[in-house]
This record gives sequence, C-alpha cells and structure tokens, in this order.
Amino acid sequence: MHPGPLRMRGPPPIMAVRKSSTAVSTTTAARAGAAARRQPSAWRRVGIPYAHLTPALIAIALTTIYPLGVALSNSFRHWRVNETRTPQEFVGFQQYAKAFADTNFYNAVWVTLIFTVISVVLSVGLGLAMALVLNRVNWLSGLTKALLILPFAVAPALKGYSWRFMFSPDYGVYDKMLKTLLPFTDSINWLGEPFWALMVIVLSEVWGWAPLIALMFLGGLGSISPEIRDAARVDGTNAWQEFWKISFPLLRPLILIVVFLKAVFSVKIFDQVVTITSGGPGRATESLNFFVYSQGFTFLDIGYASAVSWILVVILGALAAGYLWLMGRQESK
Amino acid sequence: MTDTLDREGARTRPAVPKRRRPRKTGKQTALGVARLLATLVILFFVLFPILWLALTAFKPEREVFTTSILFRPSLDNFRGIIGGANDLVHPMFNSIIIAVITTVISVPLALLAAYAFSRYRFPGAKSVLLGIVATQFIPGVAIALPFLTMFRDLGLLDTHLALIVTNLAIVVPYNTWLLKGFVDGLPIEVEEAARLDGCGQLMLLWRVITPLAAPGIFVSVVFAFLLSWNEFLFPTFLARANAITLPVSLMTLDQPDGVEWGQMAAAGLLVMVPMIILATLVRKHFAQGMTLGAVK
Amino acid sequence: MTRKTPRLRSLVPAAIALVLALLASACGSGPITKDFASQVKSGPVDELGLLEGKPYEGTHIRFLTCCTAVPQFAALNERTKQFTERTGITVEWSNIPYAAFLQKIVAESAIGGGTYDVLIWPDAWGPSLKIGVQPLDEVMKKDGITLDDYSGPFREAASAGDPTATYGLPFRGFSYNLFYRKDIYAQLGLEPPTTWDEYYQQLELIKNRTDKNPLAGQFSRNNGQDLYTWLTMLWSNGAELFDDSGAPAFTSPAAVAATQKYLETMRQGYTPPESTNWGELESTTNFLKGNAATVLTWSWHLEDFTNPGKAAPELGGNVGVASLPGFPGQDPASYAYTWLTGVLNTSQHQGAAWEYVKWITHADTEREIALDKTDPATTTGITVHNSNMLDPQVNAANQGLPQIQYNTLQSARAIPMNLDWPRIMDILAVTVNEMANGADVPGKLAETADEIRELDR
Repeated sequence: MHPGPLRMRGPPPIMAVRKSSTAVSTTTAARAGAAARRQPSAWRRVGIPYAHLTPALIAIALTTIYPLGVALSNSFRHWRVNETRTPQEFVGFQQYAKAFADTNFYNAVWVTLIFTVISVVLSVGLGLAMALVLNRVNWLSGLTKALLILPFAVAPALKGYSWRFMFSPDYGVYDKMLKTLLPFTDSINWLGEPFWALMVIVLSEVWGWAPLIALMFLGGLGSISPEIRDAARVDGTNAWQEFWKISFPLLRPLILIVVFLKAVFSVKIFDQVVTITSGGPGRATESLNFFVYSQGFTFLDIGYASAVSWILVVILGALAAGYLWLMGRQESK
Repeated sequence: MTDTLDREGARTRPAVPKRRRPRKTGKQTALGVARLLATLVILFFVLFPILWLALTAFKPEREVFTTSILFRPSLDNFRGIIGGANDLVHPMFNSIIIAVITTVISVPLALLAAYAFSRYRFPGAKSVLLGIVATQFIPGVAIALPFLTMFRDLGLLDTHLALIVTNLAIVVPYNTWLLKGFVDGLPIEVEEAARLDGCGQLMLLWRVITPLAAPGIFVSVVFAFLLSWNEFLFPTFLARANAITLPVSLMTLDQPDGVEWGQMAAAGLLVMVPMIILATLVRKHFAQGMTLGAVK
Repeated sequence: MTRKTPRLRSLVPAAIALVLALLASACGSGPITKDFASQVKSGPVDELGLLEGKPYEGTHIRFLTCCTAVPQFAALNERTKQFTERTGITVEWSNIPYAAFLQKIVAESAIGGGTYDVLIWPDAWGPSLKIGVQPLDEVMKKDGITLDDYSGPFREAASAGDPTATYGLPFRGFSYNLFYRKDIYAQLGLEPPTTWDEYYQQLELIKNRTDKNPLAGQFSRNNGQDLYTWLTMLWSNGAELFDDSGAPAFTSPAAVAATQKYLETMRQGYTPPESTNWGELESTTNFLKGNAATVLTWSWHLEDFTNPGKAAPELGGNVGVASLPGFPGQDPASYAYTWLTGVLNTSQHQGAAWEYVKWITHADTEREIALDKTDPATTTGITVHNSNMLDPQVNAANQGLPQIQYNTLQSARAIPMNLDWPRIMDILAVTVNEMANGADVPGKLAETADEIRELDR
C-alpha cells in the first residue's frame, strides 16, 4: 500500500489510495522495469548509477584499500612488534590456523555472538516500540523525541564508565534501586558474574542505540502520510492493525537495514568491554574486537591480530551477503 | 515529521464536517493513557543516566563515588576541564569542526549512492553494496598502523584533514546503507510523475527526493555527526596536539591512578549542550524542508 | 547463475588493489634509527648535569607522555621552563590517554618517523619497547651518571630485561604497602602485623567486631591489578613464578600454599564479594570513603588518603602505613613499580632529548618537587633516589613515607622482565581472577602452567 500521490498535483487523495492487502511496496522489478523503459542503452544503464556512486566510492576507497591490503598482507607474515619493527617472513596461513586452534578465539566468538544477538534484538525491538509510542503530536512526545539523540551522543567510553559506576554494589545508584525494588537480586554481584557482566555491557549499548534507532524508525514513519492513517481510522481499524498493515510493511526495508547496521556495530563492541569489565570476570566478556586488540597491542603480535581481524571480516562478509540475498528476496515478493 | 505533516495535512485537507471525526471510545482513552505511561517510562529510561551524570558533574571530589543526592554542589569539576592540564575546550572545537565537515560531505555522497542502489538495477550492484560496508568489518586495530604509515608519508599527521578523511571512510558506508533503507520506502510514483514533467536527474534529486526523504536525511545527519564525534581510535594515532579530538581528551581523565569521574561527568555534560542545540536546529530545518516538498 | 558473473567481475578491481597493497607493504622499510653517541655533545656541565653554554639552543623536542594531570607529571611539566632557561631547548608535552598509551608508543616506535624524542614507560612494557629505545650506557658513562642511587627493583627495571644494558632511567616508582586505620587498630589494640597469619587474625577480629570491610581487596584482571599482592605472597613464601630455565614454577607446594593464603581473604569474607572485579580505583575508593579498615596498595596513595578533599572525614589523622607482612622464617618480599624515561632511537634530536632525560631524573629536580607544597595540583611525594628517600627534610614534608618506602624497597623485586610478560601477565591475571571467583586453586595453577608452556615463545 502506498502513501499515495499526496504530494503531487494529481488525482485527489482518497481515490488514489490503494488498499491492497498483498504487495506492500513497489517491487524492485517494477522499479527496474520503469527505469529500464527510460534508459534503453546499456551504457546509460550502467553509467548513470555508477555516476551516482563515484563520489562515495572515491571517499571510501581512497582511505580503505591500502590499509585493508596491508592488514591482509600482515596476516600472512610473522610480525611481533616487540621483536622487529617490520613484518618478517611469509608464513602462509599459519596465523589463521593458530586462531582456529586457540580456545580464547572461540571464546571471543561465542561471547560476541551472544552479545550481538541480545543487543540487536533489544535495541531494535525497544527502538521500534519507542518509535510507535512516540509517533504522536503533543508536547510530551515532542520533548521525548528531541531527547532521543542524547544517549548516542555520550561517548562509548563514558557510557561504559557511567554504567559501571551505576552498577557498583558500593556506590551504584542502579544497584541500590534494583536491590530495593527487587529484593531477590540482593546477592547479585553484577560485574562479578559472567552473565550479568555481559548484560551490563548489553544494557549500556542498548541504552545508547535504542533511542537512535527509534529516531530512525520515526523518520521512516514520517514518510507515511497521516491521510492514510486517518482514512484507516475512519474505517475502524484499531492501533494493532494500523501497525501491522500500514506501518510495519512500509518500515520493513528500514527494519532490515537497521538490524544489519546494529549487528555490525555490535560485533565490533570494544569500548564498553574495556571500561566496564576489561574482559572479565575471567574471559567471560572478551569480545572479538577486544581479543584482537589484546593480541595486537597488548601482546604486540600484529601478524596474529591481522589474521583474526580478517577472519572476522570474512564471517561478517558472509553474514552481509546472506542478508543482501534475504533483502533481495523480500523485495521481489 | 509527523507533527508538521499533521499540521500541513490539516491545512490542505478539504473542510471536513465535525461529525465525521471519530469519537474517542473508552478503548481509545485507555490506549491514550497507556501511551502516556509508556512515554514517561521511555523518558525515564533515556534521561536517568544523563541526569545522574549531570548530578555527578556537580559533586565535590569526595562525593563523586556515592549515591548521595543532597550535597553541596561545586564547580571544581568544570574548572578542572577548562584550561590547564585537562583542558577540553580546544579538543571540543576540533571535534565540532571535524564532525561538521564530515557530515556536510558525507550525507550528500551517501544519498547519491543510496539512491543509485535503491532505484537502479545494474551489474555489480550487490557486490559494490556489500563491498562498501565490508570496509567497516575490520577491527580498527588491524588498520591503525597502516593508516599511520599512510598519513605520515603524506605529511598529514596531526591535521584536521586526516581525521576528516578517516571519518568519511567510516561514515559514508553506514550512511549509504541507512539512506538506502529510507529511499526504499519512498513512493516511486512521485519520481515518475516528476520525470514525466520533464524533471532532470539532479533537479529530481534536489527538489523531489531530498524533501521526501527529509526525516531520513535528518537521521543520517545526526548519525554521521555522532559517529564522527565519538571516533576514538584514529585521532589517538593520527593527532598530536593540534587536531586532538574530544573523545581522546576525555580518555586522558582515565589515569593510571584512577578515573577522574567527576571531571568526566562534567565533560559529558558540556558535550550535551551543543548536541541539543544541533538537534533542535536540524530538526526544525528539515521539518520545514518537508513542508516545502509537500506544497509542491 | 547470472548473479555470480557480475560479482566476479567487480572483484577484479578489488583484487588488483590488494595485490598492489601487498607489494607496497613488502617493499616497506622500517624507521631509520640514528646513532646515539654521535649526536650527544660533550663539555662542562652545571650542577644538574646539563651541558653549559647551551649547545642545543633552539632545539624543539617532543615528549611522549601520558597522564599530565597526575601531580608529579604536572610538577615536571611546570618546571620544564626552568630547563628551557638553562639549555635553550623547548619541550612539547603530549597527553596520551593511558588506556591507549602502550599502543601509541608501539606505533611510534614501529612506524616512527621521528615525531617524538623522549618517552616514558611503566616497567612492564620495557622489554617490549626496547627495540625503539636507545641504550643509555655509553652516554651515561660519558656524563658520569650511574644507577647507584637507586634501589634494587628500580635498577632491575632500568635494564628492561637486558642485563648488559640500561634503557631508561627511573623517575617515578613506589613500593607496595599496607595502609591501615589507626583508630580501628587502636580500638582493637592491634599493631601493624609482621606475618600474614597475624594479619589474617587481625582481619578476623575486625570482621567480627566492626562493620567495616576488613580489607578492600583487589582481584580485577585489568592490567594485572590482581597480581601485585599474589606475587608478593608468592615471593615472600620463597616461591617463584619461573625457574632458572624459564619454565613455570608456580605449581610448587610453596606457591600453591601462598596462593591459597592469598585467596583466604576472599574465602573467609575479609574482603567483600564484589571485590572480585575491583581494581586499584575501587579498592582505594572503598578505603577513602572509610568503609574499609585496611588496604594493600602503592605507597603514593598516602597522598590521597590524607587529602581532606578526597578522603572521608573519619580518615583524618587516622591513616597508618606499614611494610607488607611476610611468612615466618622467610625473607619478606614485595613488589615495586617503576616508571622510566628514555630516548627514542628514531628521534632527530637525541642529544637534546638526553639532556631532558638527565634533568627529569636528577636527584635535585626530584627533591625540589617533593618539597614544594604550594600548589595542590603539583604536590607530590614521589622519590626514587635513595638519597632523597633518606633525606630528613623530604621525609618531614611527606609524613615519613619516603623512609618507609626505602625500607620496603630493600626487600622488593620488580616483575619478570621478559619479552612475553604482557601475555603471561594477562594469563596469570585471568587465572587469579577466576580463582577469586571460586575456581579450584591447584587445578587452575596447573592448567595455567600448561597454557604458558604452550605459548610459542
């Protein structure tokens, strides 16, 4: 269902509203078909989109191709910065093999996986819920909407310290509140237990992102004209149907992208691990990024750190490719 | 956004007799109350840590690590971060300049690219889309040393330009994907109609797409600014004294003998102020932009 | 399928770029190190050991440092203008966040380019960083500077794991001490303990008779903060981390016994359960707020404990400091921590850099700073020269702490100075943290010994 040609001169709003219950967005095929009709030549079909892309590609390629290449090269060589200043001999896939034999590497993968799943589900879920609640016009919602960017504006390290101190059994305000309201939590040593330590990190991350994600969804919801909603309300649809039949389908591409973006950021979680738990208790909160950082800059084994980094790139690349495929299928429904 | 549209919609809607307005049922009032409660909960969730941070910023050193709410407020923390060893004002200006320039450059680039990915089908589209964001998969640690080498060889160490360039490399990929998500949700009929009217490509982008996608663009502006604002790894390596940014300076408050938490909180608070100003300004501007688009 | 072809085609430019990058990095050369002795000038020196006649006049050097707000650093920073007056050398201080300091030094040392000239480092990083630092022996001999005025652990740290050379001069260091509440001890009729058993009996008494934490423990794995007390107990029980061949030796009966003793504080509830993730910050804060009766930490913390702006009122005049207890019949041992300063071997101004190093580490500079109590921001009692630690004036100005530190240092040791210490330290820190969280002691120690043996060193 489209918001309809409300913003153009043309047929009056009500007539143009198509209440189809199946396809909810123009298919890529239809768009491509429409585009193709206007660009018959193959050159224009390729040239025009790439003309759009070039500025962005230049900005990215200029600074990433070389470092990525060097990182790849480093991953195939032996280089400990405390032994030599330049990379040493070529060792093939030895560093990669070392990673796959390293229990701490698997630990980091596992920790990162759990963290990513929980934090993405919570951030996007809460963000969506917040967006739906705040999609109103009144001063309270307006005020809250304006405040939504604040959590993301807090530097990750600062977020980390803030939440670490708020959960300290000694002087933490959240600790006090939780232990007063929920007495069964009285014996929990938040940062001393593997599960809760990870949850505190998750919470600090969700606190920072969910409001921003809500803002993103509000942006998406903002493209849905109120005419549709009013028309729907006149017809007697309730809030749930309104969400499910109107808002959700239109938001779906955005939701997919937001989930993906949040996942990428979650996989790279670092600052809060350092400031809240330093990877502890034990190694229970050592994320992959933290693991790579320790290998590279604490233990000064750049070769190994580069290899693990590229393993991460491949994993994420596979995920992203799968995602693109999934999105492509969604669009062609 | 919705509010302006509402107002706008109300203005352009043909006169509707009052009795057509649906009467609020009991269920709807209950929903309204639930909504109000939910909004308050959200407000608490979002605001409380910030309020606590603000409180801590005014605490004298002895009270910083306590849960006390009543104390004699002191400005020592603020004095500590303005001028002197922990001066944060100069880095804050650097951060603002770098973030603004990054945002101004990155958003149009990302929008162009996002539009292409969204509206056109061309060979290599999926791979390029994947490749763009794949540059962000690698942990900063692995590319920090190569970056340092690169900029040292270019003689750009400790310059704002170096930091802007590295920020662009980070921001453009994410924003391209984000804006693609927004553009995907825009109605294609508007563009088709505009093209039928003889609208050229650039005009189309400027006059039609930008106002339509304004809420999305607003978000991507905020996102670009904040990503650039919070970047820590590259400024640490690439900057010395001239181009040092706020996150790096903030971290100097984490000293080997302890965290100057009071001062950090004060710094966090000082940072909020430009954020709020920025958010209000940009929101108003884009709300207006949307109205202009709608009138067309 | 048709989708695969375009993907392959668009991989070609990426592949080309990667190959080019690989080639480029293969031809890369390291930073150029410069010969030290040739850059250092000789001549008559003044009372601070600095060359007279300003031979380096007009040189600008950069100081790679962190933590400029720490009082001793702030004091040095402020006094640098005196140095500039004497020598005509201007010094630009950096202020790298401590969290990123090691990586910055590594980057500068490996990629170099002569951006910085003088640097500082904590002892643990010495072995890893020394490929970027100039050995100082030759110039020290030329200028008649020795390490005689430093105690054992500081001298050890200066060699950065290489017994034949000196890489840095100590300028900041402290011993590990026991701080206790004089009022609580007096109330219970206790004296500072001489053995660990005595200490634990005192903790038991404090636990039963007061509502304070007997000990503010520190079991966080961050940066090896849980290792200081553990190593102290290990060494004072005659056990070692490594034997002469470098193999792990902490599974010996003496080591296991010492470890069990260490963890008794946790098991017996002398330290609160949340201290399993307490670092230096949390444990000293706990003591500062008056919630703990004793704390084991670095000597310089006395400055904070006696600062009315930082400490709870009940601490006023009630903070005592003593050497750490030992095991009966064994020599006491404790851990000493050192910061050193040296010259980067990619620096373009090594002669001027050496002048600054000399100035920072001169006993008179240190003495002046330790006596100057005019500004709280630069007030510090840090002394590493024996002559200063034994000086009555310095002691009078610093509550007698330098003398206590000197006494402790005579039986103190530095951490093992080998190349792999960062990794080993991390593994040990995780192990101690896990044991504090309840893991079985002998089993965990054996596991860790295996893990360390398997490290490819």
